[in-house]
Amino acid sequence: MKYLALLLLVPALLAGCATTSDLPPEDQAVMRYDSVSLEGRLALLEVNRAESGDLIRTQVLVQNRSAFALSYQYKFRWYDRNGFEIAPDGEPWQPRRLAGRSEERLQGVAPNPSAVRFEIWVRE
Amino acid sequence: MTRVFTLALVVLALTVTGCTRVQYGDATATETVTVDFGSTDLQMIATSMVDDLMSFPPVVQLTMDRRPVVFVDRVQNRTVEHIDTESVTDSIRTRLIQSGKFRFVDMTVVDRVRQQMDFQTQSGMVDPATAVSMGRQIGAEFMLYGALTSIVKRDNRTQDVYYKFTLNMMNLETGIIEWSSEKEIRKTRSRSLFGR
Repeated sequence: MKYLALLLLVPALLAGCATTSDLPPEDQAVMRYDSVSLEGRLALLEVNRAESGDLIRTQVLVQNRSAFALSYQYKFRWYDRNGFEIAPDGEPWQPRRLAGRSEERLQGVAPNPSAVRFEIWVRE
Repeated sequence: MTRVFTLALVVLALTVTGCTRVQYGDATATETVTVDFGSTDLQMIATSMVDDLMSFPPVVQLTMDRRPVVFVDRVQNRTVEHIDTESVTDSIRTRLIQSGKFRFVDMTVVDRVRQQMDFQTQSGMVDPATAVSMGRQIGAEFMLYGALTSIVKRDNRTQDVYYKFTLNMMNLETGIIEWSSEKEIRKTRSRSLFGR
C-alpha cells in the first residue's frame, strides 16, 4: 500500500500541480513545445509586450512545475504581418536551468520593425 | 578457404567504414562539448548585446528618425583561451545592420578601398564619370568597443568557467559612453565518480 502511494506521488511531483491556464486567448499559443516531455513541466504564466520605438519587446514568465531542477532551452521566433519568419537562423537556442517549483522571466526583442508576432519555443 | 578469408575482410572493411559518418546539424543548437568558449556563447552574447542596445531608451530615441553611423573597434580578449573576438563583433554588427537601425563603416578594409579608389581615379582605365569621388565617405558618430574576460577555477572533479563580455558605445565627438552592457555566462563541467 505504501508503495502504491509512493508510485502515485512521484508523477505528481514530476508534473506538479497542473492548473488550467489563465492566459488570455491570444497568448495561449505563444509557448510552443519542441520536446513533448516539457509539456506539463514548464508552463507559461504571463506574457508582457511593450514597444521600444518601432520594435516589439516581450517578457514572458515561465514556471517549472516539477519539484526538480529543469534544464531546458528556449528561443524566440518572430513573424512579420504575412506570417513569414524573420531571420529563421538568427535566434540561437539559449540554455537555462530552473530550480524546482520556481519561476523566471525570459526577454526578447524583435530583430527589426517588421515583426508583429512572436512565439517562444522550448525544448530539453 | 580463400573465399571465406576474402568475405571476412569485406565484412570487416564494411564494419569499420560504417562507423564513420558525416551529418549536418543545427548551427543554432546548444553546444556543450567542452567548457571552452563555443558557438552557443558567441550567439548568446550577440543576441543579448543587440537586444539590450536596441531597447535602451536613449538609443531608441536616437534611432527613431535616423540611422547613426557606427564603427566597431576591437574587443579585447582578456581570457586565457584563443578566442576570435572579431567573430563576436561581426555577429553583433550583422544583427544591428539587419535591424535597420544602424549603419557601419569598416576600418578593416580601408587599404583595399583606397587601392580600388586609386585604381578608379589614377589608372586611366575607368570612365571618370563613373569613378567614385574621393573624400565623400561618411564619418562614424559612435564607436563600439569592449572586452571579454574569464575566471577559471578547477578542482579534481569540477571545472568552472565564468565569462564576462562587456560592450560600450562611445560618442566619438563628446567622448561620452552612451550605452554599455554586460553578458555573463557560467559553465561547469563535473566529472562523474567513475568516468573520465
